[in-house]
Parts: sequence; C-alpha cells; structure tokens
Amino acid sequence: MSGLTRQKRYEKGLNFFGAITRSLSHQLANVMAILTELTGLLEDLLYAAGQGTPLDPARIENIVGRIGKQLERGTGFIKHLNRFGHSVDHPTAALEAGEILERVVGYSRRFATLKKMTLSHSRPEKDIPMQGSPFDLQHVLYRCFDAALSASPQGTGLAVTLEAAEGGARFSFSGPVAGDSGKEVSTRLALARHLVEGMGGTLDSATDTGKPIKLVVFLPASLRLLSADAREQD
Amino acid sequence: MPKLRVLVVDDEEELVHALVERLQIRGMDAHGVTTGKEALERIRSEAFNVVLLDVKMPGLGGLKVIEEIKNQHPCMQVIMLTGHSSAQDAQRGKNLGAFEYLQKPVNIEDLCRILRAAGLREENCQE
Repeated sequence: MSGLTRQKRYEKGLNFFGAITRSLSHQLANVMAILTELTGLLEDLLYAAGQGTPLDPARIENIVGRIGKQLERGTGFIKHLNRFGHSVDHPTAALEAGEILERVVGYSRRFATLKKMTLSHSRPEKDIPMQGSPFDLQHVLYRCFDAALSASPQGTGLAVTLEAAEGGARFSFSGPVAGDSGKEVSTRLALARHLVEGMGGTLDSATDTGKPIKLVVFLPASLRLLSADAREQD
Repeated sequence: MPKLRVLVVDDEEELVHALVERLQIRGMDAHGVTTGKEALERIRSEAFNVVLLDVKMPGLGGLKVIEEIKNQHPCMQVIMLTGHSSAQDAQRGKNLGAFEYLQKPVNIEDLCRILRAAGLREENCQE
C-alpha cells in the first residue's frame, strides 16, 4: 500500500477506536444524566408527598416509563461498547457483512446526528459471509461513512446499501454533496480508499459538486488484515 | 422577588424535560429547547436571567450560542453543561463570558445554588 506508512495506518486504527469509544461513552453519560434527573424527580415528588402534596399515580407511571426507555437505550450503548471492545479479540474471524454494517451504522449515527443528518441502510435477507478482522472491517466502513458524511450538507440523508457481489460484498453509500467540501472530502476519501485497497478491495467514487455522492466499495469475502499487518511489521 | 427565569438548552430532549420539571418544583420559571437555533429565537423574543447550555449540540454548537447571547444580551448569564469536561471548552466558554462550566450529571441543589448566583450577577449587571 502506498501513501500511508504502517505506523500511520496503526495510528488511524487507534484514532478510530478512540472516536467510537468517545462517542458511545458520551451517549452513555447523557443517559446517566437523564436517569439522575428522572430518579431525582421521583424523589422530589415523594418528598412533596411527605409534605402533604397528593401523589399523582399517572405522573409516577409516566416517569417510571421514561426511566425504562433510558435504561433500554443505555443497555444498547453498553452492548455496542462491549461488542466493539471484543472486536480486537481475534485478528481474524468468521464475519457476516450485514451484521457488521449494522454495528457501524449504530456507531456512526451520532456523528450523523451532529450534522443533523439521517442514516439509513439496507441489507439482503441472505447472509454474506466474510473472513477477516472484525475491527478492520468496522474501521474501513466507518472511514467510508466519514468520507460520505463530510461530503454531505447538514440536514440531509445518507443511505447505505449492502449487496452480495461475486467473490465478496458491495457497499454503496449515496447522498447529496455540499458545494464547499472539496479538500476535506478528498482527504477522507483518500484514507478510506487506502484502507479498502489494503484489505484487497476497491472503492469507486463520484463526488462532483452538484451531483450526489456515490461511493461504491467492494470487499472480498476473504479480507486482508490491516491491523495485524501493521502490528507485526512495525 | 420575581421567579428566576431559566432556559435549559440541550439536544437530549428527555434531559431538558426532567431538568425543567425539577427546576419548576424548586420555584424557578424554567423552560426548555433542544437546539441552539431555538434558544436564540426564544432569547430574541423573551427575557431570561440565566441560560443553562449544553456545549455539544447538532447544528449551532454551544460556544457559538454563547457568543450570540453575549452579543445580544451582555447581562444574560450562561452556564455551560457538558457530558465530558474539556479544559479547552471550559476556557473558551469563560473567555466568551460564561458564568460557570459544569459536568453532567449535576446535583440539583448545587445546580440551583449556581443558577441563583448567576441570577444575582445578571440582576447586578442590569442595575
């Protein structure tokens, strides 16, 4: 692979790991803050009841329901964080492309939300088996999302479609393009392409101003190892 | 003494609702919005003593909102609220005129004490 040293590739992997754990722990901190306020609100109402204000069962029920929703949301973030942490357990494993795509969509949703964008994705009913590093595959898909998000204007939507292709899987990212994002997009796109090619795949892109962005990423069923390669040879 | 008027701004809608309810229970005239843009619209048409503002929000971020608030209403006090403390953000906020920088979750009694202190500063500034 040209254009990026092994050390830089390794650093980009660490940088990705940091970005995802920061984002998920930030969202978890928000859930904890909400739970603090909702349980505090229950305490306030119970205190007021002790002072003679009648307790409204409907209000209590409403708050308990809100607590339940946040617990469910927080559990989701913990699951994401745990799965993500485990993705470096083995340098190579049997993977399912649709499942990995869904994980990365889950991780990337907040980055899209910060741009007031929506993410949608579709995957085929039939599994697409792959073999490789779960961490690397998540990394490369995240970088593709990152490049596509950086190209799109605020308040728009990005769609990702996964389909089986001969010898592997094809991921297509499509969305509108902002008129003023040229250099930033090229840098991010170059990194995504570098990683895709490092795993033995190809990335075709069309990001002309005024036309929708279209990144078409093909990855082979048997993925080359990016991170293991960087660790072993440095 | 008039009620302290507080505007809570955070993209976590549930947090805004819960905080507004708790501040109202404690005698404050609290209101909430979920974007920086909405906050600036409310501030344009209504008077608030203190704004409790999330730093990281989609669209118009907290630091930009402080700048706008201070341009329009130099006496209005802003308390920054964040999920994770960042010394850099805290310093930037203070340089822009923020009254205080707090990390979530905040003990409600501590928050009320800080909101009242900010309200006093706002009142003194208006005189």
